Amino acid sequence: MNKTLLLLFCTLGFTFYACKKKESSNNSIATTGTIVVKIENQVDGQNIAMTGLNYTNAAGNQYSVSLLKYYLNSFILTKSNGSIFSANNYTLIDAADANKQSFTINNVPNGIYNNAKFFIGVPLSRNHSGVQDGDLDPMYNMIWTWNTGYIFFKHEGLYKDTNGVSQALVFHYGTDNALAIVQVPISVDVEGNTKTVYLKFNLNNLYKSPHQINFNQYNYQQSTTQADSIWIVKLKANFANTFSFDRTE
Amino acid sequence: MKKIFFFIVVSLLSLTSCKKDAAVYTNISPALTPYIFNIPAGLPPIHIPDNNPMSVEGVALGKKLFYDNILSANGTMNCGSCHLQNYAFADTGRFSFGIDGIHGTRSAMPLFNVAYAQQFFWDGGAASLEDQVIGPIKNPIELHSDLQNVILKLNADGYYTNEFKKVFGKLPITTSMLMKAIAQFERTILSGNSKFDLYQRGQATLTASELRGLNLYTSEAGDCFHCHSVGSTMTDFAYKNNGLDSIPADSGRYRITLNNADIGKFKTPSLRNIALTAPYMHDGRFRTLEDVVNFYNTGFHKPLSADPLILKRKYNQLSAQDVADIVALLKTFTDNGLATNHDYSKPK
Repeated sequence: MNKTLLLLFCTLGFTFYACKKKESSNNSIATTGTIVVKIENQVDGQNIAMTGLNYTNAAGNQYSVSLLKYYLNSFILTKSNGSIFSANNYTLIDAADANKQSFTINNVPNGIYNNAKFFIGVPLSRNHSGVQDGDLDPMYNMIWTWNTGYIFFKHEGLYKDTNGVSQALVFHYGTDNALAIVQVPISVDVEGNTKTVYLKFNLNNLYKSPHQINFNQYNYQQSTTQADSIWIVKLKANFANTFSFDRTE
Repeated sequence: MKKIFFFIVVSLLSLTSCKKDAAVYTNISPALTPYIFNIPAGLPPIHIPDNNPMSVEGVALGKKLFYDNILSANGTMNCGSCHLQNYAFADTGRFSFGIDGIHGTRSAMPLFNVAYAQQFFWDGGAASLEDQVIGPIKNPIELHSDLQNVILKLNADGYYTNEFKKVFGKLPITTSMLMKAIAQFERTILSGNSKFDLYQRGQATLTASELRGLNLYTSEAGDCFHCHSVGSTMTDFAYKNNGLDSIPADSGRYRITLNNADIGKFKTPSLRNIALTAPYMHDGRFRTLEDVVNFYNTGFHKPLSADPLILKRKYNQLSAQDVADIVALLKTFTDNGLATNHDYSKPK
């Protein structure tokens, strides 16, 4: 019987050992913290309001925003020594919904991070099925159902044409090629606690550089035609300049 | 000996305790009854996606949803409004009218043996049967629903919260659960018991005309068999430009791929139950099977993106009798049991 018990303990011991995840040692000071990333959706420093043709882009087009939504994924933080921490997030940002303007990254190792890299859109591995939950749930209306794939970025509103007449502005940006990379220098010191990093999104920068977008030329793009693919290439490059670090709290 | 047995039991316990969620994705909950397919002889085996295992309860829930007006914005239509069981789950008109009384430019497709297809819609735009589900629910010319609304309505319905909880083991109901349930039901709709199937199994005989039709079907003159396999699924599931127009009005598969070679290509439909699914072609332009066979005899065009078999096809290879014989054969592809199978009918 003793032998049996010994065998049992050995086996169970092995089981627990084998199942145990790599965890930080539970000393009194936590070795990881939490970063909350908050996105401030703006046009040249003003928070976006969903009324009126209040904005003017670099091409001089007056325009409005009635809807502004986009996906942000795989937030990657880098320390000055080059070590990185990568979050596996797929986050929907909605400029009209205060509950959809931030996301939380848990278990971030302590240290000073000075760079954030992330992607606008949904990566290939997640872009060809709507059978997904969370922010990728198709009910958020950020998916094309006639050609399965996510809409990475939506801006809808009005713009004034050359005759001063208000026209529909519809930008539905997506397809695998459209996944855009963004890098932002940041400054956040994680010390076992929760830090909130504020990033600004400037919609006007998306239509400014390196490619100026004139709404008289581009105003109804659904990422469905070959002409749209030129517009996609331009916005993809511009996305690199749309985010900036505001502050850490 | 006992000790060894004990050791083995504990060891097995160890293994299962380490296992992550795999069981959730590959097996259904023990509280559910696994759905066992009754696949007609002659049809291939069915692959079930790992993320949507089939249960009797899931199929029943999917059927309830398929026939429930809750899926449409104004509560007036459901999937079965245009996918009519008596017509192999196709519609009888050229185009189907949605809840707002408007229609599109493509004919509602029949719904059977969808378990064998990889992509859906005439142009293959939907990446899976599950993904197909939300297309018609959202489409403004069909059920015109806001998905968020549909999910709210389902979560407010006692019957659905009970059933979804039972099938998926959790609440609230999400869009992916809705997609999975309806796909489970649609996957069960099989058709493989036509007169022609019985003939292939040696249980029925074909008439002289039908046999002549079969000879033509499998000859270069008729040349149906290249795309519509003889028996089995009766389709190659490929996208082809069959020469309907010299310049296609509908770009077809091109809309999905933006590849010029795909202009005017549409999915090869199965010829099973073809006598039930008039009118024909993606735009329902042909009213009868005679019209279709005559088109392949004298009416086809040879645009650049046409299938090579169309490009090399000669005009006028079939006599009027040949056309009649092919049509006679096509009519043996009807599975009369499909229309009367209560497993697929609107639940009472």
